[in-house]
Amino acid sequence: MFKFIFLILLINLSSYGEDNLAKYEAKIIEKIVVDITGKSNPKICVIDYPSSYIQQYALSLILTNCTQADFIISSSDKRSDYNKPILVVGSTEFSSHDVVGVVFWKKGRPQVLFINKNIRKFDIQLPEEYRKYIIRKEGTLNVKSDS
Amino acid sequence: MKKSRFAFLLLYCLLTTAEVGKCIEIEELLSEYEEVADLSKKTRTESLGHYVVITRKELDIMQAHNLSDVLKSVKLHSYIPNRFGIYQLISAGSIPGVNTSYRLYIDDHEVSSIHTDNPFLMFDNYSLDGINHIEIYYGSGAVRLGNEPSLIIIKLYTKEPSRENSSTIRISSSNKKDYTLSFNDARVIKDNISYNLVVNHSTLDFSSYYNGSISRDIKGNYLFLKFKYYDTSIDLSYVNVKRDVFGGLAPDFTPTASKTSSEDLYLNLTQRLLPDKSLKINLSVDLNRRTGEFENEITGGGVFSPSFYPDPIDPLKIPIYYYEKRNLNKYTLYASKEFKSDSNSLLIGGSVKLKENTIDTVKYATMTGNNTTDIITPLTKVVLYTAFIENQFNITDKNLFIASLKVDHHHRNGGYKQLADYIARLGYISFLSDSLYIKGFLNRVYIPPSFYKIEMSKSGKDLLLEKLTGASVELSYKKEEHSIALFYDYTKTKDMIDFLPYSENIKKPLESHYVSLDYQYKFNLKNWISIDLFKSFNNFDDMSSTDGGYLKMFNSTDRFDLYNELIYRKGFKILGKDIKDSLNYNVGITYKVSNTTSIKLKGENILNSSPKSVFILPQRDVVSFPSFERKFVFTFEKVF
Repeated sequence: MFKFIFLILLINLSSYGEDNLAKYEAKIIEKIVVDITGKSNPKICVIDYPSSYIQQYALSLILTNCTQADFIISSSDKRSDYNKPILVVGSTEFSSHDVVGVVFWKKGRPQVLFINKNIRKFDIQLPEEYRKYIIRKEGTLNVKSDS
Repeated sequence: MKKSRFAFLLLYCLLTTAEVGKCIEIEELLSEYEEVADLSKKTRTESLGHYVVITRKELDIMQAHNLSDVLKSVKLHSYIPNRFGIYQLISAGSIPGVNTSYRLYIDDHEVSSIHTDNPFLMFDNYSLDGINHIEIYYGSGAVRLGNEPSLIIIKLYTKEPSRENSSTIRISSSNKKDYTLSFNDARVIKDNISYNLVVNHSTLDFSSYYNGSISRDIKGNYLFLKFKYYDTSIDLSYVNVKRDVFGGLAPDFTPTASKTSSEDLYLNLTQRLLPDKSLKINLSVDLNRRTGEFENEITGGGVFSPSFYPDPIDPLKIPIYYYEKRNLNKYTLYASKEFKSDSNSLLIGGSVKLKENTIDTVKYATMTGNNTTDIITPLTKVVLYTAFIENQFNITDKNLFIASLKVDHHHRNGGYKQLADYIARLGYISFLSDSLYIKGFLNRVYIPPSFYKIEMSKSGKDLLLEKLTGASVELSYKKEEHSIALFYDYTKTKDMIDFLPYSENIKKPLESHYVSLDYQYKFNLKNWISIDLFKSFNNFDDMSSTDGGYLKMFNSTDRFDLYNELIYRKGFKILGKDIKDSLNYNVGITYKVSNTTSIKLKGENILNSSPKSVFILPQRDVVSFPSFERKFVFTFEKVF
C-alpha cells in the first residue's frame, strides 16, 4: 500500500506533473492518428489544443494548417468546415459530423470513443484493438452527438 | 492503403515504442495514463509524515463505500467501536475511548467534533461516494495544516469534476436489511467553474445483545457540495447521524434507553491568491447540534454523568434518566504563505479558531424525581491562536531536511487557566540509491484536553496537557514490481488523560514501540498484492490487539474486479479473559455489465471472526462484542 516516489527528490516530491499528463495525452493522440491514417508521419492541425504538447511528445505527427491536414485535433465543440476527421480531446460534448473520436475523462478514468456513423463517413477502418471503443447508439456514455 | 495497414502499424510500433520495448495497445496506454495522472501523486505531502495512500482504483476494486471499509485494515491500529458504538481508530493495544489526537479532513476542512475533538461520532461510516482517494499520515508533529495537534491525519480528497463528467447512482442492500441510496454528480460547467455534489442516505443494522437491550444501529444522511470558481473553492457539508449508542452511559452496559442524534454543518471557503497560488486563505464555520438520551435501572448503576454522579455514591442521587441538548460552534480563519526557491521551501502561517460550547437543555431524573439544570461546565469558550513555520531544504538533490515549529495559545473562559505550548519536529528524507529510500522524524507534541474530557473530569481545571515525544523511521525499497517498507515508531506520553471512569491524567508515562513491514508485488497495472505485518510493545495493559496484519489482493479485468482481503488481529488477555485472534475475511466481486452499469457483491467478515471491543464493568467483569457483522452486500451502480 505504501506509495513510493523514486524520481529525484524535490521539495514537492511527486511523479505527478502537468508535463507527464501532457506527454501521455499526446501519445494517445499520436497512436490514434497514426493507426487510423495508416501513415508514419500524418499531418495534423490543432484547434484550441496546445500545439506544444504535439511538438514535444508526438514526434511522428507533423503540424500543418487544417486545409492540408489529414486529421484535426480539437479540444472544443466547434464545427469544422474542412471536411476532415476530427479527434476531440478533453470534452464529452460535440456536434460536428466530422468528429470520429473523443478522448476524455469520465468517472475518474481516461477513455476513448469512436463514433460509428462518422467513421463510416470517412471510410475509416479501425484496427481490431479499437473495436470495443466504437459507439453505435447515440447517448452512450453521455457523449452528445447529433450525427 | 488498407491492405498495407497492418504491416505498417507493426513497423510503426517497433520504431516508435522501442523505448518501452513493445508495441503498446491503446488499452495499455490508457491504463498508464490513468496511473501517472492519479491525483494522489499530486496531493501527498512528504512533510506531513509517513503515509499510506488508498487510490481511486483501490477504492473502486475494494468496493469501499464508507470510511469503515478502509480504516478497518489500517496498520498499527484497530478500528473497533467504543462504548457508544462509534468506531474508533486506536493505536495497537490501546482502549477504544474517545481519542482526541486523530484529525479527519475532507479536502481542506477538518471535521472533528467540537465537543470531543474526535472525528468519528459523525464520520466513522462517512460515505465515500464523493471521495477520489485517501491519505493516512502517521503525522505526529505535523504543523502545516494549522489545526489542533494530531498523531494521525486522515485526508479524504473529493473527486475532481474535470475527471468525472458524470452522474452516478448507487443502491446497496445487505442481508442485514440495511441499505444505502446514493447520488453523485460532478461536472465542469465552464472552464474553471465546476461542482461536485453528493447526496447519501444510509442505514447500518447491527446485531443487538442482551435481548435487544443494547444496539448500535445507525441512520445517516450526508450532503456534500463543492463549488469551484477559478481559485476559489466553497464547500458545504451537512451530516445527520442518529444512533443507538450501545452501552452508552450505563455502567453495567445494559441501558434501558440509549440514543443520540447529531448534526454537523460546515461552510468552508478556500481562496488561493497570487500568480503562483502560494498564498492560501481559509475561512470556515462549523455548527454541531447534538442531543443524547440515556436511561438505566438504578440496579445497573443508573446513568453515569460526572456532573451528577455523587461520590461517595448515594443511590437516591444517582440519575436514572439523562437528556442533553447541546449546541457547538466553531469559526476558523487560516492563512499560509509559501516561499519557494530551487532548493528551499518555507511555509509560514497562522490561524485563529473560536470554539463555543453551549448547553441548551439538561434534564435528569433520580429515584426521587425530575430535575433540570442550566449548565454543566463554566468552560463555554476557547480561542486557539496558532502560528507555525515549516522549512524544507534540499541539501542535495537526494537529501531533504525538514524543520517545523508550531506555537499555540488556548484562551479559555470560565476561570480555566490559559494553555500555551508548542509542537516541534525535525525530519530527514534521503535516497540512498535509486531504489532505497529512508525517512525519519523526531517530534515533540502536546494534546490539549477537549471540552468532553474536561466535563468528564472531577476537577477539569486541573487537567494537564498530554505531552508526547517520539521518533520514527521508514526504510523503503523498490525494485521493479517489488516494494518493501520497514517502519519503526517510538512514542512516550506523559500525563495522558484516561477515563478511570472520570477523566484524569495518568502519572506513569506510557511508552510504545511500533514496528511494521509492508510488501507489495505488482503483476501489472491491474493486478497486485499487498501484505502488512505489524507488532507493538507497550508498557501498559493490552486493551486491544497489539499485533496484526493483512493480505490484500486486487484483480481487475475488462469485465470483472475481484478483491480479497484478510485482516488479522492477534488475540490478547484482559483481566484473565482470553480474547481470541481474529481473521476478518472480506471478498468483493464486481461485474461490469457495460461501461455505465455495474453490479457488485461483497461478503464481509465471511469467517465470522471479527476483532472485538472489550469493556470492563464496575465489578471488574469483562464483556466483549464483535466489531463487524458477517454480511453480504449487493450493489447496483449506474453512471449517466
